[in-house]
Amino acid sequence: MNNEHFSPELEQQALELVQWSVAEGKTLAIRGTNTKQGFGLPIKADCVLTMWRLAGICEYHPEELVMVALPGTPLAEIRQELTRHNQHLAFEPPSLNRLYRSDEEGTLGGVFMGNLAGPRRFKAGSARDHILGVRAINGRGELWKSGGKVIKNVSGYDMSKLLTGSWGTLSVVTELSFKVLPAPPVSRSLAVWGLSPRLGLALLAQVASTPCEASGLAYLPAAALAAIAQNDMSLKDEALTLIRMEGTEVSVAERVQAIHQWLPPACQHNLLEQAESALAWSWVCDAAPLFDEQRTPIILKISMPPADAWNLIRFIDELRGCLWYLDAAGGWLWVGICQVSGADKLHALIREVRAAAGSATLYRAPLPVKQSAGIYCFADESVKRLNEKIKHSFDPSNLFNPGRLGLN
Amino acid sequence: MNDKTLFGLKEMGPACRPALLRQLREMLPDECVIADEAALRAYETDALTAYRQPPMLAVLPETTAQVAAVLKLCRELDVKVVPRGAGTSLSGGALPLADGIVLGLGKFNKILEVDFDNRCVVAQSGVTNLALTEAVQPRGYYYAPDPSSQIVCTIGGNVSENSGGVHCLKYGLTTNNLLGLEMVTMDGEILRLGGKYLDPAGYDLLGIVTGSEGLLGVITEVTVRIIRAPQTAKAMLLGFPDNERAGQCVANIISAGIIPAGIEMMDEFAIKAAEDFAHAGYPTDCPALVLTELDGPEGEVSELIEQVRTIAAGCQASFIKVSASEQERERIWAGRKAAFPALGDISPDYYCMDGTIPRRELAHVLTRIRELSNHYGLRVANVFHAGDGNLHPLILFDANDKEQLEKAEEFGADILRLCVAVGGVLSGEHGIGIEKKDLMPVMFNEADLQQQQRIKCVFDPAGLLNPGKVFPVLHRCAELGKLHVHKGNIPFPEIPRF
Ligand SMILES: Cc1cc2nc3c(=O)[nH]c(=O)nc-3n(C[C@H](O)[C@H](O)[C@H](O)COP(=O)(O)OP(=O)(O)OC[C@H]3O[C@@H](n4cnc5c(N)ncnc54)[C@H](O)[C@@H]3O)c2cc1C
Repeated sequence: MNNEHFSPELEQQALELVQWSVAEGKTLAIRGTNTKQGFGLPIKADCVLTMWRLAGICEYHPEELVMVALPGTPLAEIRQELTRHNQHLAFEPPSLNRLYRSDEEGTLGGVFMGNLAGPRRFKAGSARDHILGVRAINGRGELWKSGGKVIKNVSGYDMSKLLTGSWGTLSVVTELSFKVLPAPPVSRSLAVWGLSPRLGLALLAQVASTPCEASGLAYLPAAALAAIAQNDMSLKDEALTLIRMEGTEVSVAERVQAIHQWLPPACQHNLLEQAESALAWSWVCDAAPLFDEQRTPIILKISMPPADAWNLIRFIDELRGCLWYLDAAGGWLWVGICQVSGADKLHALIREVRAAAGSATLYRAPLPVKQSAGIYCFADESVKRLNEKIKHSFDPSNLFNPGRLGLN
Repeated sequence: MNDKTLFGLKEMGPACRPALLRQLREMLPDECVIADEAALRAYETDALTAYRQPPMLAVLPETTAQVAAVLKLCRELDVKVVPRGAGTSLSGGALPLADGIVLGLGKFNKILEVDFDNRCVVAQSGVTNLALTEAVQPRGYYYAPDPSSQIVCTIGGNVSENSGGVHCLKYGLTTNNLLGLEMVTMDGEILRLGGKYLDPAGYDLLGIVTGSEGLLGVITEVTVRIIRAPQTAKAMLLGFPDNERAGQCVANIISAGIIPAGIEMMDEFAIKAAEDFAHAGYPTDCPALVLTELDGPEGEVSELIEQVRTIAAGCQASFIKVSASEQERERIWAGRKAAFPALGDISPDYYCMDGTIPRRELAHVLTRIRELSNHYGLRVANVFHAGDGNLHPLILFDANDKEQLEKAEEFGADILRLCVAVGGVLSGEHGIGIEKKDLMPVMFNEADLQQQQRIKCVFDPAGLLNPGKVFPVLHRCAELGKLHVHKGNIPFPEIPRF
């Protein structure tokens, strides 16, 4: 399709464009810099609306913990500005570039529309916990806003949360306000080597149940570690249990010390200092073990009750041919399925997730697999129907990113 | 709010009341259906007591299936339904309707599961906020959001209002601590959203239901996350010569990268009232007081206390005190929590406002509130969740004096307009309810409000659930659903193509 591309520089231009598309019934593929195009079903749209020119930080009040910026602002610019004030996005948005093989720099809009989150998820929440307000254009060609520019607000429905994680299917966002937080001055991790999945999980659960306030708890089996191509750390050929502590120097030292009492006897471990720790967590955060599309063409991210992780892992090991690792204190299980014909395994796994009363999102798969499995594993039909009604209420003519989430 | 008169049931009860009553009695045990006029008075108001209206009937179902049956019946008979938890809403969210029933969740009072392995609790929606913490405290856990009303308010009410508390700066509001819920729509459909896991698939339905003030569905069950209580917590009292410097101190603490577990501010009037009432050890000669709590691992807390001490001294603090024991810490908070009742002691009535402002506007806003106080001739005390800019001006008045009541309301509305004018919002944690719905256009234009109402239409197209709350004008869903197309020529040669 020879799509026409538009990249408005002003909100007003975006508004006029959407109004035109409503009038003409033209569907729109909405993008930032297109780094996450691989997510969801392929979008078949008449025109492309890219938001990267609608960029820039509008307001930043570090002492109020609030930033307001335009959706096309490069994430790197946001990070840079926050770093200058020793602040950060506490939800630790991952970069999905390698997963989706993009060289571009992701935008702020993409981070929020994907409701991204990293290893701090179980402690600090995801993008949806940090969004404060939006300005957006609905599928009727109307500009609307919700929320505010302060961190505590219950005036009217929390519409900004609905947009967060909507992958551009509900409205075209033209401005975002969000909560920012102080960055911890010190971040260090304990790397524990060679634990069996059972012992690794037990350790994560143990640490999560103490007042140590770990801000990262992950387990990577040896196979997942081996799949990380660009490792600069002299990695051992063994499973890695990662425990991250963040805060002031004194506090981190104290808490790392406290963790030792929970380690299984005679296990090998070492402390990862700031840079090493950051590198190790970037693998976990960005799903480095699953980068290689040849090797793991199908990726399912499972969100389940942590106590069910063990059963799911055993199930996956019995399926064979899968690569997995655990993040978010046992609350997230990333699974890569190794053959293109892994659809049967995927379906079996989705059934298992349903049985565990969890949920799952298909991050990558060949098209026929996406079509048969769907992008989301909904708990039941009524919830799916509700999702579809919500889509319809924002975008009655299905103009925005049609088909992406497989909702009708 | 001109008409606060009590309507007699007989005049107002719609024609369907007898049929409704008969059918309700068939589906529910006798004690679950309240039709007696005297008994219905118990439901006539919530914590916004200036408004009173007994409902047509009240029902207190015991199971989710009963809730579904009641809602289905009301939908069929076109009867309005007002859900009610403990009735502590300060914005009139649970105010009944003369031609509607109250659906009380009082019998949904069981904790269903305490699941330490998954660090969560599953409870029926009528369980009190404090009961959640009490259920997990023995193992060193707690449920973080702690509204001052936590002894009585229900978790279902907390979800509906997205309630906060003094700890929400660090630990989040209800919405950040909620994992799942079961709710019943007006059609009688039972929905389960989320569960004991982090990320439900699809749009953030939990997010939109949280804070929806009982307009989208009746919540019957809730799953919340619990966290380990911090190793230690210490409270500090910091007195300042004026509000400006107190506000500056709060800003400097946060700029230094410190997020206290709680950080509150009180003005002179509130300090004196609280101290007289609770004897919390507050310095009554300070025009402004900052109360803060630092929690976490021992070493960290000691370190932060010293940092805060230095920052406070830099802002000319005239009084600095750190709690030396757990009892002293509790006493310091008891003073803050007693601020409302303390004012109730001084004045026959008080009207608690709840707007949020950008903190940098604090000094200006407090000065303006004082001017308004002079203008209306009503005293006002300020307590303030300083960390997040959430103001609670308490306007003192006498409700028996009709003129004073009207003035108090005008004064309150002026304060909220002021909050919005300086870049803030109408409500930080108490909700819009009946109280602030007419002010919604101060913050939102017609397109904004219509977009919200379309969500209402998704869940409750007949508009029977808690109508008359939140929105100043209700549009019919059919009207909101229409697509108005303005044929446009392609008007943007100026929009860059790639
Ligand atoms: C002294 C005092 C102190 C307070 N302090 C705070 C505070 O610190 N922070 C704070 O945020 N709030 C505070 N509040 C306000 C109030 O306690 C909260 O809004 C609370 O969450 C209301 O809970 P409730 O059970 O009393 O709900 P109700 O007042 O009964 O109802 C509140 C709203 O929720 C709806 N609702 C209730 N239960 C359900 C359900 N199960 N399903 C669907 N809808 C439902 C009602 O229709 C109504 O719109 C305070 C109130 C008082 C009186």
